Amino acid sequence: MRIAYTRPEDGRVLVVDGASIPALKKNPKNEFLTDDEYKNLIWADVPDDAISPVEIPESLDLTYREFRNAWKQDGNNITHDLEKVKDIQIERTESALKPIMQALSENLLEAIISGNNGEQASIMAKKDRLRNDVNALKALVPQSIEQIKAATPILGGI
Amino acid sequence: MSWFSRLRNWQTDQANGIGIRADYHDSEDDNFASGINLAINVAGGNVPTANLPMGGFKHTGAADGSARTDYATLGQVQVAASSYAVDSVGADAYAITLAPAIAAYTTGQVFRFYPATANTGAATLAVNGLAAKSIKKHKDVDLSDNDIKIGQIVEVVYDGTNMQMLSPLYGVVTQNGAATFGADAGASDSYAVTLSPAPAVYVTGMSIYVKINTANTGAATINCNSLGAKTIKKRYNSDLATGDLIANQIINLVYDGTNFQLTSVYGSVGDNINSTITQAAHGFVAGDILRFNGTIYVKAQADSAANAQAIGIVSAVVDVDNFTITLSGKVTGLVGLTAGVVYFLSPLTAGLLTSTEPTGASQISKLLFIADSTTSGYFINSRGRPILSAASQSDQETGTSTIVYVSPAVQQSHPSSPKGWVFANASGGIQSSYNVTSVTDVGTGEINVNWDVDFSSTNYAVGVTVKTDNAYFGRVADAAFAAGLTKGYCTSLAPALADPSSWSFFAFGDQ
Repeated sequence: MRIAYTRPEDGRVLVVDGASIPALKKNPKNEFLTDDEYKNLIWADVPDDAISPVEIPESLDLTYREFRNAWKQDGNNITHDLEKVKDIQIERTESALKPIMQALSENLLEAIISGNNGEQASIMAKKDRLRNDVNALKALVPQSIEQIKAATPILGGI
Repeated sequence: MSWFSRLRNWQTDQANGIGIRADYHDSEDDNFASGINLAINVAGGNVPTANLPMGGFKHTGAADGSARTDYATLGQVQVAASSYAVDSVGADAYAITLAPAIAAYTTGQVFRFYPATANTGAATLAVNGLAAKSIKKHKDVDLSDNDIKIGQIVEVVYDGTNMQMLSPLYGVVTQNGAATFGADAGASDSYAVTLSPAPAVYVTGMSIYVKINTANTGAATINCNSLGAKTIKKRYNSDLATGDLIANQIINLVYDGTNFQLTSVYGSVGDNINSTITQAAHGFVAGDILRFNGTIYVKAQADSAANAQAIGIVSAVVDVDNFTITLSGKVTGLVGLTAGVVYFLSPLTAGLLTSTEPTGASQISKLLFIADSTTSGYFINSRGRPILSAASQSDQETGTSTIVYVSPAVQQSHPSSPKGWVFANASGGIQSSYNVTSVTDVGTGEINVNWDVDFSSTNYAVGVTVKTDNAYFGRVADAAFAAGLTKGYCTSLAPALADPSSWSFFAFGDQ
């Protein structure tokens, strides 16, 4: 038995996965656990302030977790909030670019010191391109996860 | 008494001047003749006229006496011809001829004879043609068949009326046993026999043999020659039980002054093992279950292993200082039983049986008896089984008891046992668990474990490990740590939360 609900403080979807009845019956207090009691037991693990708690079907596949924190409820189904997906992707991109940009900055400093103007221009261009990729992602109106991922080639290449 | 002495002294006469005188010689010769006539004649020509004192001497070389007035020689006495003869007539009418012949029967007269035939009932003896006299045994009882055997030297004494037979009664004593044996002719449980000769009264120590006609069905009596019914007892004073006597069985009974005690093996005695115990003022009654405390026998009780070491059941109380204990097998004479019911040693009352198997803590379940009727059954000394109580949660949490058993329901309460654990996949799907109601997938690299039975406080130990090929590690969140919930994180070296392949949580502590 699984129950999905939305946490009010951040809108994240949480999924409560109940232990099986046989497993629970091994606990002395649950020796004669009925189906109704079982459901009540699992539901008790859902906070009182949960938003839209709902039992979701066992057949619902939740193994795709690349953007787990971007899940949103859609009835008793769970889909992705694409804005959250984009935010996640932006955060990941910025995290990935941070060491790259730092390395390019060091290379640029060496080119300035050495007076290598050509190298300076090449590095500056590379840093601009990377910034533009992030900006493009931020400007993207997300349509799908695939679109978002395609908009961040750097992550694909990392 | 007369003594011979002479009248004259011839030398004295001569000295006195008295010459030979015819008158003196005649008187002296007459005096000689008188003296000779006073002496016994060796030829038998003179006989005593008064008793003859022998002065301590004896007649020697005497011939055997032949007339009733003759002396008997020692040889004659040894031969006893005067009182012994060979029977010359035959069965039941014996006749002998003694020499010298008797003129008449005299009370106290003893006769011995050699019978040529055995008797076939009442018999007589005639001596020297005098009137035949009945031969009696036991004072005045006619002989039975074969009381006199061919060739047996029979001795009888005339009692003034009959010849009382002194010789052993061949038929009675040696063969037919009629004096002590009788075939029962009474009904079941009321046996009766007729002995011959009939006893006049019951005498303590009197021993009889009885062939039982019908098996007994309980307490029984025996009546000998209508002297009165007496109860038959076994083991001194116990009434018989059904089947103790069986048809055609010959039993021996000895009269003890009140009852006839059965000394024979009886019907059920072979079905048990008994022991007679002497213990002053034992105070036991039939049916008491006993144990031996090392010094004396006491009542057993299933309230402890030591008190439940029963060795037998009191099957008979002989007297205040003696009792019979049955160690195994059939026991009779009890009360209040139900056929087919199994009885245990009572944990509540010493010495008693109970049909309710003990189940109380520290009691002993000891099966001892199976009844086959309301008064009997079989004693079976089985091994006792201690009744252990199940450990409570408190017992487990204390963890010091050695007298309770751990049941699956409470074993986890021991401090050494994990109170909960779970193995879940990356999304919190429970693969196996104990004491976990659910796992909440909170987000990437973050799950909550919801314990079913909460810990009594947050002072419990919990560990989390993650299964992953990446450089991830699992950790327990401090902020959200609660008695009923444990939050776990999986963190990469970045650091950033990341999903592992699976999670494992395990927790120890008090609940």
